[in-house]
Amino acid sequence: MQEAANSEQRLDAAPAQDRAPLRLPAILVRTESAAIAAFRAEACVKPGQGVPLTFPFCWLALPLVRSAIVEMVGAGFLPLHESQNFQYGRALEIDSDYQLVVDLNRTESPPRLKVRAEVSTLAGEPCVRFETVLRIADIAQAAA
Amino acid sequence: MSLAICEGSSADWPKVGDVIGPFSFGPFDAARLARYAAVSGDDNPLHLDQDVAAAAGLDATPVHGMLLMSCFEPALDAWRSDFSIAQISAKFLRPILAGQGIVICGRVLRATYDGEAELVLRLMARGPDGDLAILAEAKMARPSVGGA
Repeated sequence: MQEAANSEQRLDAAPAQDRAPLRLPAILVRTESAAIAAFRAEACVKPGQGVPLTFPFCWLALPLVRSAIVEMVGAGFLPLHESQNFQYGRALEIDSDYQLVVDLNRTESPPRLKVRAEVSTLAGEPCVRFETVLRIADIAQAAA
Repeated sequence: MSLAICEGSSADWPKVGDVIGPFSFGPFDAARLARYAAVSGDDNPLHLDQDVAAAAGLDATPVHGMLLMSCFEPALDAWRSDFSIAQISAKFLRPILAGQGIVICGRVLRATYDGEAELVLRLMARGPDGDLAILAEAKMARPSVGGA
C-alpha cells in the first residue's frame, strides 16, 4: 500500500515551470543591400528595391539570438512556427544601421517560445516590432 | 517615409466587403526552400531534411512559414499599390509541403475614412486542396512621403 502511495506521489510531479523572460543585449544590425537583394531573389516580394516586409525576421538567425532560441527550445525538440506578426511605424531603408532588441519568453502547458523583437533607429525611433510564436514539439513524441 | 492612414480622398478608399485576389504563389520546390534557408538564415532541418519532416509526421518538407508570409506583401501591392502594410498578423494552420503553392485571397473587414481612418483586411492563404494554411489580418496605410 505504501509503495503504491509513493508511486502516486511520483506521478503527481510538479508541472514544468514557465522560465523567466530573457532580454538579450541590443544588437547593431544593418540592411545591407547585398543581403536584401539575395533575400528579394528568394522570398516573394513586391516590385521595387525596398526592404521587404518580412526581412527583419532574418535577424533572428544572428548568432546571439539563434543560440538563445536553441537553448530555450532545448535539445530533442523542434520549434514549429505557430504565428507571426509585424507592426511597422516607419519603413526600413537600405544600407542603414538599426538597433535590434530581442526578448524571449518560454511558457509551458503547452510549451511555447515567444520571441519579441523591436528594431529602432540608432537615435531610438521605433521602426518595426515583430513577434514570433514557436510551438515546441517533442521529436520523439511526434514520431510515435 | 512614415506611414499614415488618412491620405487621399474617400472616393478611392476601399469598402467593406471588397474582395482581394486571388493571387497564386509557388509552387515552392525543395531547391527553393534550400535557397530561402540560405538567404534568410532559417535552416531549421524540418524544412530541409526529408527524414526530419517524416519524423514530424509529414510526407515532405514543409515550406517555411515566413516564405509563405512574404507572399502577402506582393499580393496586397497588386491589389492596391497606393497602400502599404502597417501591421500584419498571421497564424500558420496547416503546412504547405515542398512542391505545393498557395493562393491568397481576402476581403476588406473594416474601412473607415472619416474620423479615425482605418483599413483592415482579412486574408487567407490556401493550399492545393483548398485547405486553409494561413489566416491573417492586415492593417493598411498610405505612405506619406516626407511626412512625420
